[in-house]
Amino acid sequence: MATYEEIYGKRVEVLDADPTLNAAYEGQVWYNSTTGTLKTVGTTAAWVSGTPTSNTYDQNGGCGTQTAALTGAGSNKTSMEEYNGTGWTAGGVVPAAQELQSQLAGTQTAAIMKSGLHQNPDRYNTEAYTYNGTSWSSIPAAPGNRVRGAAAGTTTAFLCAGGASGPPTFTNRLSTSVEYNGSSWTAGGALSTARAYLAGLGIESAAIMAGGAVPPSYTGTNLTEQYDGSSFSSLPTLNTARHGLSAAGTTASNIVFGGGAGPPFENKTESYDGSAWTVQPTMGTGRTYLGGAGADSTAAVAMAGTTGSATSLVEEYNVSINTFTAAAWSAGGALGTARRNLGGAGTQTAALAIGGEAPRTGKVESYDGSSWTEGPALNTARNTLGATGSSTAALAFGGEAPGPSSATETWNGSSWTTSPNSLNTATRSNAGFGTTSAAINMGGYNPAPAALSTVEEWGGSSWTTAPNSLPAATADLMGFGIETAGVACGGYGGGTYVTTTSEWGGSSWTSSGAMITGRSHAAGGTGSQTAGLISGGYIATGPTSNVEGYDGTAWSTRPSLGTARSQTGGLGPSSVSTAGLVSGGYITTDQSITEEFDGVAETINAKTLTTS
Amino acid sequence: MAHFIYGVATNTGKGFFTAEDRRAFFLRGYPADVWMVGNNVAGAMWLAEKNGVEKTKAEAQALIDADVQASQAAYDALSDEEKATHPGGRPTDITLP
Repeated sequence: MATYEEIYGKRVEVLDADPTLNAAYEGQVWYNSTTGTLKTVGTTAAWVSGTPTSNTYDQNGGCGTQTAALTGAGSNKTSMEEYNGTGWTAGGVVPAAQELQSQLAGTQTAAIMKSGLHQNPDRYNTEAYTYNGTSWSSIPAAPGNRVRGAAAGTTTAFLCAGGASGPPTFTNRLSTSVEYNGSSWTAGGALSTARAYLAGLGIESAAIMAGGAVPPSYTGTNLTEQYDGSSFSSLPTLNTARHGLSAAGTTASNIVFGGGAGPPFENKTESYDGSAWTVQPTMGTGRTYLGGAGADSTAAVAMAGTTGSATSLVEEYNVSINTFTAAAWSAGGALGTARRNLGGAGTQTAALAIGGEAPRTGKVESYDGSSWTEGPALNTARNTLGATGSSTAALAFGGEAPGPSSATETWNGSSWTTSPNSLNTATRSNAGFGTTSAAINMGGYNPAPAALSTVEEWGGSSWTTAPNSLPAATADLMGFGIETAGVACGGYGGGTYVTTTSEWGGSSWTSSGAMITGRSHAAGGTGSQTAGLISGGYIATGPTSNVEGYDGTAWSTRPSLGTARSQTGGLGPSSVSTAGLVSGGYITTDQSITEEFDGVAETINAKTLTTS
Repeated sequence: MAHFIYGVATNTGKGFFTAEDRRAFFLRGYPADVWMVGNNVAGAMWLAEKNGVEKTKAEAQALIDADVQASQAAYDALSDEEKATHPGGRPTDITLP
């Protein structure tokens, strides 16, 4: 038998502590002389929770990859959603509401579906559509009605097999398949066993159809069959027979997950390497009739589905040397003074809560990552102000004092100093971004309800009115970033909660992707122009717990706050979107609560080798 | 089985709920210190460990309603000028899902 030295080229290292691990350590072995253990870095497979879809779905479709997935058109809905590996954005609306099940294939920017069942009244659509990443277009109708089948392939080489024709779908199971070549439909090969609610994966010339429900009821089968472009052949059977499952990957590297006729529903996962099915770690939540996406057996995403009722649950499957910890909000230390409409600056572990109400206050508290401590107050008590900077160098400007204020104060880590050079236009409900040496003030009221589009630039000692104002007059908006690369988003203007996002490049504004949900009064100032975070705020129905992240182009969802609220305080330009902080705010009363956001964490863990 | 447990617990600040808690069970806060958590072992244990008092959904809703009604009364007492700057206008009713 070959020795480790013969295989690796070196002897096992003896170290008094585990090394700082990186990807290069995968497969290496070392001896930790302090603990007396043989250690290595190996791969681990696991499901971790992901950001939920914006809507709940049952019998939804799924396609794409873990970082570019598409799902929706379940629960008799038309909505589709796109996943970027972190959060969700709205996709193009499907022309007809339906329960698509697994009859969706392709990618997030080039998808194809054979319509599913439209319920109440039941309608067995023959329509088919392709998606270009923006909108759905009709293609020739597929021959015969087919629902609850499974699909594989692309927009120009598509396979849809099995399922049921109706009515009733309960017994009329299909073994047939149809193929689409980009212009017309033809009959494909037949499955060995007619079944519905099966899962499909791969491409038209190399596809797998797994599981399903065989007549006369919803009895699950463990049959799997592979398609070569003209006929199906049997593969090894699944370890767990089931229907309603989902799948992702290729014929040589894939996984299937979920399903079942429960409750409880299956959380079981199996991978296939081209020769055998192997049981893998289970999903956190068992469910059936879910959507799936993924390129191979090492990275997939399970989307929505039912646990008895439609869910928005999302879980990611990874096989990696890294251990992933899902993003989440947790409770932070409580403010000494409950308040709303405060300003914020700093970072998650070194923050300032500045001013606020009610009653109107100039109180300032500093946060160390655990608790708030009251420090020197603003010279001018005010609320609904603009604030930015760090915990040792901050800027507070404008606000209600009472009446719109032009006062500007700078913080040097020990005291606030009122600048002799105030804003040129007094304003309240304004926002800003930047540092004490270069900042932006924008929008607001003077007086309400007509919002301002005014933009002023702070050069370190005075304000200059910028020639390029906000694209639209807006108040109670949010801002983050630095003076040469900032973002203005949301707010209230024109009688609505706006979704508008504008990027400031140092001298002018350019339009960017719209927020998913229009909102005002959210904590501003978290992150940068390429990685920002907006948390909570006020939407048309009241205070919200919804959180959105910005990637420099588009917004996507993030895990929700524990408690919905508006008029909170945020952070400054040194903050990052993976370490947020929201303080105070308003629900039905002023709040002292703080929440901290920790983004997805990725670590490499050494494993101890044993003989057992 | 109900999907959620309702209870009243005072948010004590740092550590009241952790990121691990959020990953282990559903949690959502409401006015009047009402918390709605997932009906599983982790959710139930969290409420118990926070000295929470479990409520029926109707009891929890009544607590929220009382809090909202107080805020609505406070809003009604504001001047027109103050009302104009209150986001969203009069506080809206909150219904537990």
